[in-house]
Amino acid sequence: MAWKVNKWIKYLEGYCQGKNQIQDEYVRKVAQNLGIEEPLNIKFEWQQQIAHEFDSKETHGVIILTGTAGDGKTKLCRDIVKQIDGSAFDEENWNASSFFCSADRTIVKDFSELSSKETNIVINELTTVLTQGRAEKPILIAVNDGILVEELSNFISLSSDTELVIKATQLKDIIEDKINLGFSLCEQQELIKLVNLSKLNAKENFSLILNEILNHVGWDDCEGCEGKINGQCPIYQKYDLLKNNENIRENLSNIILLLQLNNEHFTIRELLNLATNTILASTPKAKPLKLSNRDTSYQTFSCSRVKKIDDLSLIYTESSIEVGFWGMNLGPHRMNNARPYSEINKLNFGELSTNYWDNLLKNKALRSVEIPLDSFNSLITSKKSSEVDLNPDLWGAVVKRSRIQLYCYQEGDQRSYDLQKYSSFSFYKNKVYESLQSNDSCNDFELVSTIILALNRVFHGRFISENSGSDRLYIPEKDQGSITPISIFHGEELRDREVYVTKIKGDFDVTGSRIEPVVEFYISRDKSLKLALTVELFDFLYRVSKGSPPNTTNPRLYKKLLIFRSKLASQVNFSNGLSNQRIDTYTIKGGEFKTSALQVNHG
Amino acid sequence: MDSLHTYSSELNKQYGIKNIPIIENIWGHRFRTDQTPSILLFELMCVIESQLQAKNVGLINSIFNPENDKLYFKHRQFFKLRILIYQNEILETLINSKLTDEEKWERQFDHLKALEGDLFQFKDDDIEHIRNNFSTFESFYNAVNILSSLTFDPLSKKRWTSKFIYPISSEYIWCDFDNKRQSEDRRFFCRGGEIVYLMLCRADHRVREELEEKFESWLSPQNNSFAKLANLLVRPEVRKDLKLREEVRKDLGYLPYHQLPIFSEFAQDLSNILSLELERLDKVKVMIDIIGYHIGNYILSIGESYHNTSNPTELKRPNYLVEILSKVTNSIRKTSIQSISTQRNKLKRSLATRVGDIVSLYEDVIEAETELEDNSDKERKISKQIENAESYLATHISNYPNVCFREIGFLSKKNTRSYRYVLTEDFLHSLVLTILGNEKRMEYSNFKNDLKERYSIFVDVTPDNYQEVIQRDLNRNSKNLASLLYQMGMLRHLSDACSYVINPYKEDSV
Repeated sequence: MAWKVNKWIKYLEGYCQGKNQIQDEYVRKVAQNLGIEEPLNIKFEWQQQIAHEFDSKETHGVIILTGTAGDGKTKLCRDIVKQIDGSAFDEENWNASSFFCSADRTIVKDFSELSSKETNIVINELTTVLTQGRAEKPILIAVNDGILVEELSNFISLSSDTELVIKATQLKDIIEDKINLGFSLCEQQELIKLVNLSKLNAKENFSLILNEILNHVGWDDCEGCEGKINGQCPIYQKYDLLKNNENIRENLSNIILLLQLNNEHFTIRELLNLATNTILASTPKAKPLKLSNRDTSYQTFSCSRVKKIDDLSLIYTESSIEVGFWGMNLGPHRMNNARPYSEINKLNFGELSTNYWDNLLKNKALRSVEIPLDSFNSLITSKKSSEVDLNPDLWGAVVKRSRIQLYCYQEGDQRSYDLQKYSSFSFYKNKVYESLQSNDSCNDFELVSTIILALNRVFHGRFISENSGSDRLYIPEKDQGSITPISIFHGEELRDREVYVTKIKGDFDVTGSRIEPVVEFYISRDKSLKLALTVELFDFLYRVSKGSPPNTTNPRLYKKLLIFRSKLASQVNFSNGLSNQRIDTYTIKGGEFKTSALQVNHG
Repeated sequence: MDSLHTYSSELNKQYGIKNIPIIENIWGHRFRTDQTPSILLFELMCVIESQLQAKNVGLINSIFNPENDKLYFKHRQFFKLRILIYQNEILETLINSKLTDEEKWERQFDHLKALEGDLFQFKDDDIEHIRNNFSTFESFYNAVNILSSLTFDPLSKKRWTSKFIYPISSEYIWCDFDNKRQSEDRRFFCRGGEIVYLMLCRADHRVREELEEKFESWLSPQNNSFAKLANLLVRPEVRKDLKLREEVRKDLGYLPYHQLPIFSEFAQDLSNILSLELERLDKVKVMIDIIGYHIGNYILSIGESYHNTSNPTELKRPNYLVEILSKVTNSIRKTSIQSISTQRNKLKRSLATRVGDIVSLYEDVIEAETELEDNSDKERKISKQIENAESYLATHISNYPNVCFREIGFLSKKNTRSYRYVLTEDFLHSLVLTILGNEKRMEYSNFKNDLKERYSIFVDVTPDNYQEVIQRDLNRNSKNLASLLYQMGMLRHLSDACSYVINPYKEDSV
């Protein structure tokens, strides 16, 4: 038997490199040079939908693809054109230019690469669509978020045609609204469709990417390799673990979901990096995370590196699945500063725990899953660390990594999110996220009551009991400001039926769009205010509803909510007919929110 | 070409100034370090309210007019309300006692009627007003407590006649007063607010009209509960009783510059703030910050313009290289500390360049005090006058920008031994609201540009003459600013170095 060198692994290694390495064209060239017939080609459902929308014969339109570098804008453009042109698609011609303009269509592959003249042509075409009220031909533009707005601003400032300036300004307002809020209320906004690839569901994308990697035919070339046969290859071990344990894949992708619901976006490029690093990671670099003195001078394994290792059994324990996903192999600086690892590590997995989990950690018999670090179980169960002559770094590494492994390996335990910063995520996922996947709004009574109770505590002071202030939101009278923490004068009330948990709707719903929950407060039939319901905000509200003091639990969020209170108070019309007759104040007695009129005689 | 400034040879007579008014002819009459930006605002509101009364009776054409240089009405006094809030310790005792309501009322009214001084003593009409408006003693107590919660700096040990409530409506605008001498004094209302008023009067015509409209609206009767409570507690003050006879009308402070571009910018900023769709209490906070910035900036601008010439042709502005608070020292911090020292030196030098011209205007005054033909005595007297001016400069003028900037959060000594310019959350919050106005958002690089162009605040670039700053520190500074705005909920990251500064009062976001 001999160790083989699999070209597929070498190809995957390319995704672990820096950003420039993962441009679409570069990837194709690498695959070609390695003799791989099919590079990774993930078929995202949303690509099909956008291509269909663009090619629709019924209505021509403008589609602007925005997003950040690595979201897949250029690749999507190419795939759309290739799908439409079929065999007539010319790869060389496509690679040679960024701008394709004809009577039938306009396609901009990368707006930032256009010359000034080409930029002007494109902007003129877009303003013409607004002027005429329709598009004469389909227009597809791929552009980074800020560049289009900047170019429009330059165009407006240099143009002397008043009508053109008006339309260009309207266009800029529509685009700015859509990239910031996801929607626009400007006139004619429906003519400009904006697909923000940053708004795609990163959890789903990660799952698709991981599945595509794990199911790729390239792994077949590992057949007959010594490492696979004797079960000692760390790369194949991790591949095998992920392929055969759906719960582990689900648990990892749920971390992406949590971050995404906290307004973190991960580009396709970052997810490819994350997925391949998870499989190919070597051993942790930082001493507080190492289980042995064994060091590897490289961050990722390759076939040629693995076959030179002589103590593979040690590597099995050291190079486990969490090393790559949390970026431990990249060193502390990149772990904490380079995306996506920096965001994952901010959740403090491994640092936080509960009695339940530490008990499970100690008592293997109570668990249904085994983890690689069970080989260190005696260390955890020993009563006195001093008796075992313990290395504090080793103890820290074992505990932290064991907790992370417990999370990765557990199967649907509702308490698993207690192992990180936002322990209410389980509640949030069930009541908010899963509900909004199939519905436009959440109707859960408990959810809305929790939010209202928390907001009442924030707005009016935390001494409101759970019996009071969970079915209606008491909004202070206008002009008490956001700098005064406790409001005094009673204003309007919003009943719980006027508070909804919904989601933002973009231009058109593509499969794989991410869900962005918002709390919507209907202050009148036609008017509502929205509050983005991120995981962080929900966790804060959840804790406050259980009694945590608002101003110290998260001082920054507290201040922001006071600003929101100010906004609510300003917007609400005080339509109470008695407003000129009474002065309503509120008091909190025995935890009960009581509004009372100051007994005055003035009408 | 017209000079930026004008000198006056009459200031000593006009204002009863004992020394030769050297400082007054350079920076105006006057600024003192006791008058923080918040008290500048309180005095300004008093002046505007008085001028509004004057306009209403036809004594002046408009509140903000370059010709306005007198006060025709005494400032609002409203002692009865202030007594109820600040000089009424018996209230707490009564509410906790087991007396009946009637007994409580009786004791309360006895206390109020027994106060000394015609200005402070409650008359029968005042008592009847309270009794008719409040059904229960508890409601009366609650009403007083509620208003008391709006006190600015409630823990300060100032005399009760120097305590103020946030001026959210005309009911809460009143003057500083010496309760022992029973007259207005200049303990805290040192005329700094009057100088602010004069600056606004000398702004562009269009901006003055906007300000006029907005302040009139601010001072018009309000229908909110705070305003109602004040009116329930005390009878309205009859303003015509406070009208000054022609011979005793007061001169407003002195401002030696008829037109400077910073006056219009200042007025425009205030106008923008007043038109914000924001609650009044929040607007007051922003106004205080902006007044603090502009007054400090004015003093330093005079130093910047006059330090090497006694007759510059245009106003130069100081530059503010700001650090976004960080733990470690860097080239930005060091340069910023150094710049403060340089600016102070320019203030001293601007005094030196101009003192000769000013002293020569007051030769007759000096000669009147000296022995005939005794030149050495005259020299001595002039030296003494200059010494006095230098002393006043060191105590009140050089320090004044620091006082203003510290209060608003533009200057800090945190983590260092010396002051340097910073952007704290509070001041940054005010800047965002002032720059964005009622717009929902602004691109981040445009925001930084506005900071530079409008306020000479440098974050990621340096002014030309600051050679020592390292680019890496500037880049980090910009990143720190973005991070701070993001944590405040005032920045939205999109992608690829594209971010938007957002107005949380307008945009749907947390």
